[in-house]
Amino acid sequence: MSSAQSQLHTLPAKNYLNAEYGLKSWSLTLDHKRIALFYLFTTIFVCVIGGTAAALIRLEPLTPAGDLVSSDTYNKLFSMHGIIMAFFLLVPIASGVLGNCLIPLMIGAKDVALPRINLFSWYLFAIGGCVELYMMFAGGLDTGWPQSFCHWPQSHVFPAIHSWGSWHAAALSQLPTGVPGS
Amino acid sequence: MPRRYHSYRPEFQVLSVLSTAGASILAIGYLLPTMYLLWSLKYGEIAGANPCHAVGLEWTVQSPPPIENVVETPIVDFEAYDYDRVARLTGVIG
Repeated sequence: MSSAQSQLHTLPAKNYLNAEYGLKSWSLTLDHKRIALFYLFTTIFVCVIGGTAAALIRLEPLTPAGDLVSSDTYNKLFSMHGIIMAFFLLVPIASGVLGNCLIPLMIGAKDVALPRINLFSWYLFAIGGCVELYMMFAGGLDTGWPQSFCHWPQSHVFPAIHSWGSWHAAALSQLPTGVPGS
Repeated sequence: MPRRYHSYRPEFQVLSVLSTAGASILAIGYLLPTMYLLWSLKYGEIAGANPCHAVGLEWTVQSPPPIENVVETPIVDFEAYDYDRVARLTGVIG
């Protein structure tokens, strides 16, 4: 693969990115590649938040005294990092971004089998993400990680239910995406 | 020293600073590809639809693909890794 490398390529004039313009054509799109882009930008956004939490977790032990963040905030950062990275990055990046974009192309299909369900699953995912972020910035959940799954102290039932509900929404939203892809 | 401790005894500070230094290297490892991917997106040469002469169906469509990926549903009557077929079609030996 050497001789073909030198020839110049140009972008095709019409593709899924510029075929239609406008907010409506994007927000109500049924195209699996555009929905994959939605997932891509959502996961990049939450990855920055979860990555910031991870950076703070690692920066705090630079000094022996707990001086960068309080012990309570430190525990909340663990929950935040764990929940975001597992349910709002790792799960959707496999099925939402890669599977959504690639599988119809790989099998020579025009789209996924149920494109409206596919779009719906992204909206469900986005709503779950908003509830999760609201819960984290409005108070947070200091159960740490991975106790976010299993250990709910009595005083933290409400943020825990918020969190539990929203990451389940996020994880389950991958189900309708995965079904037509499979 | 157990993990996930908010504060700790001073004699462990050297190890902790070492660990944070390692995490910084990891952060650079994330930032580097972010920067060169963004650079390639803006200034990189257009790669074309199938730069590596791969044989999968996903490489037969234009790049970026059109709204509905294929004009008509392809009929696959060849093996999955038939690189000779691609070489015959393109004249390029991969």
